[in-house]
Amino acid sequence: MEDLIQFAENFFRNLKTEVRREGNILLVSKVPESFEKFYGKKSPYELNFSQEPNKEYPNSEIISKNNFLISVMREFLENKGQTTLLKIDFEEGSRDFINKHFLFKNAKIDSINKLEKNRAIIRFTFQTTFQYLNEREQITTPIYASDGKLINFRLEDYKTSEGKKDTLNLGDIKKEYEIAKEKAKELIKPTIERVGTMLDKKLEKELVRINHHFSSQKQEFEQKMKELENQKRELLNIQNPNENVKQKITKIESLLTDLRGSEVLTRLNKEQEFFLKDETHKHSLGVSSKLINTTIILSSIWKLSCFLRNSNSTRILELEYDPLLKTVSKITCDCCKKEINKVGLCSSGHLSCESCLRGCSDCQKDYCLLCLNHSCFSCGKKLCRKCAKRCSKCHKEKCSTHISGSICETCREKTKTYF
Amino acid sequence: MVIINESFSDDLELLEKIEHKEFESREMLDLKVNVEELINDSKINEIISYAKIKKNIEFELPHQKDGALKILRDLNGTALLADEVGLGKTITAGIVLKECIERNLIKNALILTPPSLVDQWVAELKTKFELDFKIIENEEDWSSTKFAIASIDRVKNQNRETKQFKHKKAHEITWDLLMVDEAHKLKDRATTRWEFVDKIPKKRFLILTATPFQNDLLELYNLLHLLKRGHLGTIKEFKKRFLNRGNKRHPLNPRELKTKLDEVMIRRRRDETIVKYMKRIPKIVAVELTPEEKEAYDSMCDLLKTKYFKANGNEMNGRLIIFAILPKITSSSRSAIESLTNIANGEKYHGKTRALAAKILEKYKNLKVDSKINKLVEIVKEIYTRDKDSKILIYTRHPTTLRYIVDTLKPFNLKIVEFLGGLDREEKTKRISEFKESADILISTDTGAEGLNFQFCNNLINYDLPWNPMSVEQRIGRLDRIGQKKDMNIYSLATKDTMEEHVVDLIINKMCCIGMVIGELPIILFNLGLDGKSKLGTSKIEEILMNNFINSKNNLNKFARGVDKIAKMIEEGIAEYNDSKIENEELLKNINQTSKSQGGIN
Ligand SMILES: [Zn+2]
Ligand SMILES: [Zn+2]
Ligand SMILES: [Zn+2]
Ligand SMILES: [Zn+2]
Ligand SMILES: [Zn+2]
Repeated sequence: MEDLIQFAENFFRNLKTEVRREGNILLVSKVPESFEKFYGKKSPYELNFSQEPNKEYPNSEIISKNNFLISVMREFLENKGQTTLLKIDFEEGSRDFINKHFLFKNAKIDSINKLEKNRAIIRFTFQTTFQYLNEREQITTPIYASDGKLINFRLEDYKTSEGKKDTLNLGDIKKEYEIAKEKAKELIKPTIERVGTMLDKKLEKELVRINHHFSSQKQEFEQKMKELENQKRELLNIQNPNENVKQKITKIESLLTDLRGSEVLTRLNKEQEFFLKDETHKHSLGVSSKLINTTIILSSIWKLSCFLRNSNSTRILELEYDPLLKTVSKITCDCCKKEINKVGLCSSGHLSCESCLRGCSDCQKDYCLLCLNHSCFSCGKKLCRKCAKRCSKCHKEKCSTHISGSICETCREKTKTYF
Repeated sequence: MVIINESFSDDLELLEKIEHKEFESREMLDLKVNVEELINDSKINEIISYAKIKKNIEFELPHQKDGALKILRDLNGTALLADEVGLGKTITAGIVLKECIERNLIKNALILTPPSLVDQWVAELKTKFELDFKIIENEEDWSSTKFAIASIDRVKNQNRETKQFKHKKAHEITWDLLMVDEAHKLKDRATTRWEFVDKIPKKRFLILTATPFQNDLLELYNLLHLLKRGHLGTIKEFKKRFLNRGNKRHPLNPRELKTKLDEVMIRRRRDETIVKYMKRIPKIVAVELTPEEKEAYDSMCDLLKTKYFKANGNEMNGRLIIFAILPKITSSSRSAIESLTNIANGEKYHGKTRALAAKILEKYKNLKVDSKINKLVEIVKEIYTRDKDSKILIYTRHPTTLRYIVDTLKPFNLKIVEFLGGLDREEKTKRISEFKESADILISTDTGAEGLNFQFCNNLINYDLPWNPMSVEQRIGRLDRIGQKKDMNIYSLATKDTMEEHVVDLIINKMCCIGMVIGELPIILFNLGLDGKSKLGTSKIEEILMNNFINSKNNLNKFARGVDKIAKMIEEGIAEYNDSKIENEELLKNINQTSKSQGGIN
């Protein structure tokens, strides 16, 4: 009952009528003409959803699920709601997601610039009716597709709201429709099989009845012929038959001819065939499917420009974040090209994995191996570009320990000996 | 083995909507899914169409809905519906039909009825079930008709030479539902009628009859043989198992037969339902004529019986004229005067006849008293003395008499509603509610009140009486309906020492008010071969009475003897019917009496 009153309330709210609920009474007024005409009754309506007359509203109409009004509502809705546009509502959580997904070793996301794009998922809802004898089964099958492929998805798992048409950029969906239709056909097969087997059993019983009946009839006929033949034979065996016997024989003979000529068996066979066919038709299974709704489900994809920053440098990370699939585009180490989750920011702006990120021996700043491509000729220490000093004499790169001023220690030693 | 018809609808239209970015709110979809869930039940556990039907029928009778449910749910739509007379089998069958359509179970249906019921079926299907059925007239109609109704007598005909059914097209269509009404006419297997029905391919099959057998259990076998081949075995097996050679009506192994019947039959007795019938109390009111009136009346009968023929020189059909005029001149003095004036001035009549009519007219005009209308006033007064809130329905066959009665009753300060043929629906509805709400008396002609319901009134006065018992049954039927709470007083005026006395006695005392219920009289008349119409369009009984009148040549005794003969015939028919009713009841009684309805309308 509560189901019903809620349905009715929603229905009338949806029609933008004035609806007031008082307990089990629904007071509906200002119903649009389109529905009034459809129903054949002018508003206001006083609807009583309990099964007892109401004292306060003695004129209210008692509504049960078999009530005329409910079936009118059903008819009214029949061709409504065939197409729907929805949007999945996601909490905007790109920063958290990125911070959870990646570990930034030596930098922080400072700010994010976002650009929203949409992905479309199409839900085809097929309704299949199985009709047999006086029964009807109905199943609805939702099938989801996106980008020309079937996908596993459940709209129920997401919070959604009405989508905006202008954000929809959809191509032809016939391909998706075709593959969804094939899938729907596949999904109803088990039901066809189950119902078919059940019907087969029922039909078999009826066919047995008919076959039994007609074989009895045919047997009875043959029995009768045989009896007549026997009678005839006995009479023929009588020696010196009198007139009476002769007459009897003639009578039996003509009766036999009549029966043979009457094509009783042919008629019975034809009748039998007719009734078997009739019964088979009666037990046939009708399966009819139709697309009752197509819903386009929009789901955002964010183009993110994240500003990754530390005291030494800044790097803009271009990421694509998909909150539906909970994915974000990959980050690779600029040095070894491997995919990384732990991200380091090289002081010259490279992204680097843990193993490719080192400190410069002199300035101690983080540099990736691409940048630490300098080393001291004397001690071999890796140096950043800024810390590697070239000696003006020998032109070798040296660290701060092995060079002072513009001449390295080695060259300075040589000079000393010479003097 | 099972045939599977798989279909997939063409959904392009819907895809186009997407292309054009036409979307509806999601609530619409939710509501749609919601309502389907609320209503949808795969098995038929309820009659979902009843909500629509309910508003069109006057009284809800649970057994009708229950019966329809049982037929569809338990009997797969193939059943013998054998409720007792008066329980509304037509309504039950209509519910089955409507439900099948509403649930999308059927795409076509065929109803076969006796010729006299075709129009009634069409009207009931329209008003009560909002279904349009097309009447099959010609062979060509079959291909264009999905929901067809046909007179079985019309379509069963065979071509004389080829022995083929003229309407064999009916046999080329698989009918999702076939219904045959008044199937007591299908009890003989060797008739073309039976064969015609047997050859119709059908998925569901409903046979309607109150009396599945009349004289012989084989009739029952034939009906079931038609309904479900082999259900009772071959005829030889049936005879051996169930037929008692000594008594064709009493089966051997009755219990076993009942069990077999229960598998395909629905039968309810009145006492199992909430339907209650009130008594019809016949009140014949003798009208004693003054000598002057008697003389005028007699000479008028003379005009019709003897003089008229002699005076008539041209080729006019004398019988036809009598059939047309007799009821009019016996109706009331005023309608007699009108008729006589017409004859006296009628150029088509022979000069002698006109002169004679003029003479009798003079007698009528000079009458000082009208004993019949005085008697009516007496009855009306008596009714109101007994109960001042009474309502009275007065019937006459003629508009002239109707006016006369209105004029006569006017001075008595009663509120009178007139009801004649030719009123439009709106006006009819207005006058009916006037009668129901505020008026005292409704005066109607037979055509005026056809099919109307006045169960709130329990006094009927037949100012004149049709000679057709079914017309009288129709009159009483306006009162004698479900919802009538009182016994009904059926007053009938009969002029003493005239043939009317005998006719009224026959029709009222021996046919219409003998404790039978609505629907039984036509069955008895059918069994006697007295149903249907004569060549002149009158009912057969009416024709016999008329001929009797002509042949008696104004000899009342001779006329009375003729009436007695009819009475005897009817009496025998009733006795026969009652006997078979008892036998039917005995055999068809449900062993396990289920779902007895409770309560009563009264
Ligand atoms: Zn690396
Ligand atoms: Zn450095
Ligand atoms: Zn670097
Ligand atoms: Zn060094
Ligand atoms: Zn150097």
